Amino acid sequence: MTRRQYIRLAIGVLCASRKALGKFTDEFAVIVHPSNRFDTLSRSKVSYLFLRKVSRWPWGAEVAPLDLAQSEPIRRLFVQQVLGISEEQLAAYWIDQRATRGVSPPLQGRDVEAAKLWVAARPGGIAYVPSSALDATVKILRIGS
Amino acid sequence: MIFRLPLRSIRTKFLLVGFAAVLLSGSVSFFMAAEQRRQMEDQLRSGAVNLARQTEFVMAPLIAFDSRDEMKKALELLRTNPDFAWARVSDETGTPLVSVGGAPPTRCDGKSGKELSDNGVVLRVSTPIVDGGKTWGCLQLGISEERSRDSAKRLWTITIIGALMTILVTLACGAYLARTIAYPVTRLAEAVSRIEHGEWDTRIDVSSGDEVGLLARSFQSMMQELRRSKNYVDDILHSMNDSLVVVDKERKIRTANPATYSLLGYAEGQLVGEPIERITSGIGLLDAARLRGEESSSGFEIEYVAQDGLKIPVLASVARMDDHNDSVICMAQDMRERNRGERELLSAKEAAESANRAKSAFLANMSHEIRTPLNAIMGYSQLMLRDSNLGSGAKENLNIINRSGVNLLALINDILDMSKIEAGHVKLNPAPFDLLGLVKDLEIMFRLRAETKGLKLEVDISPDCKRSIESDQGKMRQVLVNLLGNAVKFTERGSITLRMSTVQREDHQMWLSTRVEDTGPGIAAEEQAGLFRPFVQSQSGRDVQGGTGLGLAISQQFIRLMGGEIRLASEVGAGSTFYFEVPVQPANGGIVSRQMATRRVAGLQPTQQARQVLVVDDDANNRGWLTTLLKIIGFSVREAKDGAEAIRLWQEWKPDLILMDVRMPVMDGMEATSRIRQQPGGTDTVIIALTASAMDEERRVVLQNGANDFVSKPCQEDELLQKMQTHLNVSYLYDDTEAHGSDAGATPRPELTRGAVQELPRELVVGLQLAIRNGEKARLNELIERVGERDAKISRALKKLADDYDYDALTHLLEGAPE
Repeated sequence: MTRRQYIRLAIGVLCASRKALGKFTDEFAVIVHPSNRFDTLSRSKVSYLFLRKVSRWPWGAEVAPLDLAQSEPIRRLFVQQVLGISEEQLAAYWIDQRATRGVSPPLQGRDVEAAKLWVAARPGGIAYVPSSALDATVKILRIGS
Repeated sequence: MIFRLPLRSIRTKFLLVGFAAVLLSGSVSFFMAAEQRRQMEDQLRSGAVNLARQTEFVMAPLIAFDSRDEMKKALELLRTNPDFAWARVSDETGTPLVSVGGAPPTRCDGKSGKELSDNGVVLRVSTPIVDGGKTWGCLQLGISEERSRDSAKRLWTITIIGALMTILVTLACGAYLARTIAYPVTRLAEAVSRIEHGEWDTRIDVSSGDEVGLLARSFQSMMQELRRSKNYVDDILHSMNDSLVVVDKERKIRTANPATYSLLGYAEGQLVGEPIERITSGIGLLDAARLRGEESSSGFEIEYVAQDGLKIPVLASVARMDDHNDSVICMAQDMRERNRGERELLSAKEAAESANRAKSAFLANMSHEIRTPLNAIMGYSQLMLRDSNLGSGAKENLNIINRSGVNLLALINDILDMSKIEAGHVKLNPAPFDLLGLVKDLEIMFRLRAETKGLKLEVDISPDCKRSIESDQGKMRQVLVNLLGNAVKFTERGSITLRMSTVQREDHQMWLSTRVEDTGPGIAAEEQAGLFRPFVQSQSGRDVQGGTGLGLAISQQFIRLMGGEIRLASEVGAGSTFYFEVPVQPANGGIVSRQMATRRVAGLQPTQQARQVLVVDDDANNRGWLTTLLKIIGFSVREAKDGAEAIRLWQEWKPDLILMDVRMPVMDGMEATSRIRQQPGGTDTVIIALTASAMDEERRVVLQNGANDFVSKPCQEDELLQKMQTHLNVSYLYDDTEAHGSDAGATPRPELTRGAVQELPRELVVGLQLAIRNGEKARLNELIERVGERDAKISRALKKLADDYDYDALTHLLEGAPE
């Protein structure tokens, strides 16, 4: 498969998943550093951040996404609802990204706590946690339409 | 003369082909270059679109987060493309966000186009930036066409150079081909064209060694051959004295030889292409000949018209030529000379003919004039011989007179014969006749003459000689009389021999072979040649006086007429032999009875009823002797002096026979004859014409006018009486005791009866029969002598018969002998 085909595949996957997605659940929340100027971001913009298509925030801070381990139950929901693709498609995307752009997938937090710490510690940090685990150390980034 | 190249000459064709090749290669190059450029442009455009797509994919998140530095970086990356000119990213409202490379201020409208910038022509493409179903903005890209234009330019340059080289090579090839093929071929064609226009001396200077050169050389030699043959024909045409014209089917003159021009007075070459009617109107004959499909016909007498209008009679002959033009050759011979010659010849001929007619008329008249008095002389001398009171001296004198008359008559006849022979009027009258009878007559005729000169006359007839043959008796007799007469005349001592035989040759033709031998003085060799020419006499002929010198000439002509030739074998002092052979036919029919010429008529038989004879003659002397003669014989005679009187007497007296003279005053004999014949009962009377003319012509006319017969004047008594006997069917008493006439040597036959012969011994009769059957004349004579020992009278009679070769009579007599 050429690169271009992968790209098309990815686009197709994204488009398809969104349709299949339907409505977001409230079981997880996207969290950013409290200094972050955005309160709300569209779902696609959020996905750009997690898929490392954008490297800096508009104000210059480096975008630092953190994934959760696959064992975390909400990861599956996040991938499905926000990125709009399956785990397998995601894995293929990253293999392609690594090969073509030298971009590696985001690091994976050990647990939800680690994710909160990652975001609190970095101005450009962004991660997702279950809604139950939210606290003041992080800012919730609402996903708009 | 201009020899224009045809439009489609080989050179033109080469040029056309070259031009077409150049055009083709040029246009192919052009289209190829244009196609190349179009493809390049397509490639450029699709490249630009791809570039834009790739960039677009990256660009959506960057626009989403408005990260312009990233955008710029991403755009800067595009500069690695060598054709990149500029790039710009606008947001979804069209507001420019980031641009690199001096982008022009065009709106991002999703359209592509071209712009001229400082860097040359730039291809502009714009594409919306879409991701996740959302249009984030617009990407515009400027791609320089310079590079592709450069390569297109290079391609163009190469194409043009290639095309130019193609043209050059084509032209070079064309020039080469033109030089090596077209040029020699053109030279050849020009030469041929010149030759076609009559420049026969044209040389072909093509020296190349290829096929064209070969062709040229072959052509050259062919042309030489052609020139030779043309010269040959020209020589023939030039050397002809007669006019020769070739006319094609449009009736135009194609060729005319110099003789034609000189005959008609035109300048050489002036007639070619002219219609044939210009020189003759008689060409219709030629057309007719052509229509009849004849290959050739000759002998037309037509007229040619010269330039000055003079009509020239020519003898023309035409022949069709075997060409595709359906041409006709007309040869004409100038007839003027010939016509002149012919006219002269004709007038000369007419002059000669009229002279000849005058001669013939003169001869006829003269002979008539001479014959008329001669008739009286001979008639009265014959009449006087009947007078028994005359003494023997007077009788002898009368005989001399009579003989002289006969000689004179013979002379006239000879001259007349000769003139007739010369005029070609003599024809053969073949008829069956008794050959042995003729010989017997001749023997009787000449025996006395020979014996009075002390000569021996011998007749040797071969035993198998045919007794009767078909030939011209009169002429044969005349020839033999002449030859025998000459022999008797010129021989002084010795003998004269007549030998005769008939021979059947291989071709079944029977020939009569005759020799007359004498022991005379002979004829010198130098005289022999001229002997048969008229009026030429040998020395001895001149020595012995008399004769016309015509006899042998006439005889020779007669024998030639019969198909033979009299030849002569003679030496001086050793005698002469004249001999000839003529073809004869054996006679099939009965033998014509011999003329009883040797017996003199004494009178009519007493039992005979009286017959009435009318003598018509203007000459009283002739009437006189005829009347006297006929009255002596016992006829009842009356006289008339012209035709009118004859008719009157005929009406009142009804005679049995008329002796009618032809030439008379008041009414001539012919008219009188035909008038009598037209009257009722006019055919009962026998009419015998008496003519002094020796011309056969006149005799024929006489018979045509109704005469039963004719008798030539001077009349011979026996001939006249014999003819009267034939026509009146009377019988005469003969006076056997006395000879008469000119040939008085004839011996009367002794009376001989079967009874007398029957008394002869048997062995003698058988011997005689054998001798006769075997034709042994000597043995016969010997036996007859033995008969004489017993009975002199019978012997004399037999001897006479044997000497007369009357073997028939002898056989008849002997057959009656007892067994």
